Amino acid sequence: MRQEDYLELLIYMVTSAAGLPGEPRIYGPLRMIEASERLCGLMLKEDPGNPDLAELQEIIRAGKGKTTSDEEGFYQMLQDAAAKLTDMI
Amino acid sequence: MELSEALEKRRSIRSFSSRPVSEDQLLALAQAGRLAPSASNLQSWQFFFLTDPELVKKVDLFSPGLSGHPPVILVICSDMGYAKVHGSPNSERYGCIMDAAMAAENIMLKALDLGLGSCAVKSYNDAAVRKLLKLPEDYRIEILISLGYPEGEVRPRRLRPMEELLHFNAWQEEV
Repeated sequence: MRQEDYLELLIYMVTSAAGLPGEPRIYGPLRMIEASERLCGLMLKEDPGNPDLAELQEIIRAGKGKTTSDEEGFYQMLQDAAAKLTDMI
Repeated sequence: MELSEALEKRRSIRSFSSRPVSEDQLLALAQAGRLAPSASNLQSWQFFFLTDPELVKKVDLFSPGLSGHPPVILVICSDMGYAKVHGSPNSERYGCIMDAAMAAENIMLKALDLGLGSCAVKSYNDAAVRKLLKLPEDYRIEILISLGYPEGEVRPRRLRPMEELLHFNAWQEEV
């Protein structure tokens, strides 16, 4: 894995933490799940054929944009993503 | 495009293609911005179109609210030094922010007219973006706008019902 990939995730997490005190409450879960999706992407680079990681990434991608249009759908996606992780342990 | 159609069609775009945006298009956007209303006609706005891919990528990295890897980022700033000399205390408190917001809406509507997508973003790290843009001390970043050709589907729009927003004359308690 390239150090640059980790650095990009690190920048995203730190700048999110710096900005969240002034952001809407729902942006906390949004930034966390966005970071999770990015981490998932890094893991997929190392294990491109992993169907569970690909499905988890798809669950997050399909639901993360609902923060401002469908809050219930967004929170349901978080639950679905958490449930998906049980397939991976 | 007719104005009413543009108002209906404008959406926040969060996915962009890599198709380049021409300088002529950016100049047209700047022109749309400077035609916006300005409190006391101060016009302290400054428009920074970021087109250098390296700089765009760096600002993108430090802006958690930006998404979709836009090929262009517009940073609207206010020259607070100019505002201090030519404006009033209210310019600093809210006038410049209002001006930037009104210019931003003009620019986003013009972008739609040119076939471009846009998204107004306030979730960026001010200190990092200031440093990357080497901004003078008295420039204040007001808003970022991602710009580019849209890609993919647009999310459904959620509007509060009109009856929750609309009033004629004085406020009245619901009966």
